[in-house]
Amino acid sequence: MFLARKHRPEDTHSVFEDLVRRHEASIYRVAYRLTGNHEDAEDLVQEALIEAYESFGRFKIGTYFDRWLFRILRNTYIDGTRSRPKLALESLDTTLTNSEGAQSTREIEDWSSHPETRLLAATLDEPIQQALLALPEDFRLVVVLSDMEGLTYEEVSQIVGCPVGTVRSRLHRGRLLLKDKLHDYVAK
Amino acid sequence: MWRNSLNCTRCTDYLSSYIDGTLGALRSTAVRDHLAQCRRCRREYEELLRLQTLLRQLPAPAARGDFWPRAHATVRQHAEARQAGKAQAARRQRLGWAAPLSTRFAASVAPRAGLFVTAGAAFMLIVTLAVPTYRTRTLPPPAVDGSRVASRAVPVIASAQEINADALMTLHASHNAALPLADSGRMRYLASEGTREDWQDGALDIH
Repeated sequence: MFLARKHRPEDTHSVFEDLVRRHEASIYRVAYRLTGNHEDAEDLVQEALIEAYESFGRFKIGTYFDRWLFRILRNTYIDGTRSRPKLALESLDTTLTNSEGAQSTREIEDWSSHPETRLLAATLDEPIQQALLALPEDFRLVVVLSDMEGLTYEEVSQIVGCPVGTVRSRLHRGRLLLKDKLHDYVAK
Repeated sequence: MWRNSLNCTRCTDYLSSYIDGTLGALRSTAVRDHLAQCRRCRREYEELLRLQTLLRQLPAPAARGDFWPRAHATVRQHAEARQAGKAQAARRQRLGWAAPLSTRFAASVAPRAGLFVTAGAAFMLIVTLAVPTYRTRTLPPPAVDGSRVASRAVPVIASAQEINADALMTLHASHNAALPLADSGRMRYLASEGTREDWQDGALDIH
């Protein structure tokens, strides 16, 4: 049974808004962990909410609204990633050569000595977020939904749109990659 | 026995599912037995456990300031705009062609303005290219008697640039005998005020 068809348009919106309010925290959490910063997370959530509202007529009573919204969030994120040009990554240590052939190195301020950065680094949030962002998107999404949001393999499978076996495999490989990147924190 | 075939590689593959409690009973037992004897796999298992604990204990990032009120307001505006669009579409459908011209224009022409501009430009191009060709093809005029020309009422168009002025005069004289000059505004002008030089500038229409 579909929820939104039973309501007048103004009621549909208030039902939608009420459901979103109940899950604001987890929606934003997933968006932030996927994007890694507040600006992109806000854009992603906003876009996903519009998409969700457009599709609200297909939301079924008796199913989890947050799971349904996560699926839209995931699709919106993947679509946005595909449409963005891929960045070419270059090591900061790479020697630069100008048009006259002269070589130089980048002079970068050491932000790690700043009090604010030191405070941030003191927590584990930043290194873990960086390690998450270094994962392939498919792995990151599965790790975030499973290990951070506590969803089951089946729920993740429905959100991501792949078999449970694929979820299990991506989760395992994602964890191993994360473990390597966070070796200093997880190794005894 | 199956459990004896579990090596380190296979054990590592099963560790995630083992931690999540989604591994079958038989395999779980095999993994447990392997971990009891293999220090390397046990370390791997403990690190994965620690990682999972870290991920779960991570502080939840909260949205900044007034993000959620703004987000809800944006969705509300979107919903209202959508509803207004639907209402307008329903009204158009209900009124049909009785709807005001401005409404019909806005609904049907305005969205396709680009198409109309393109079609207009194409039409102008065709006219520009086709008229000289048409003129050329209609020359020279057939030598027919006046009554026949009058009855057909087909315009004969000649250009001073295509035939000389004398030929045009001759052409006019031959047609003029059959048709009143009043039928051709341009010819009337030539007969009363124009000179031969004027003819060089444009076309002469003879009916």
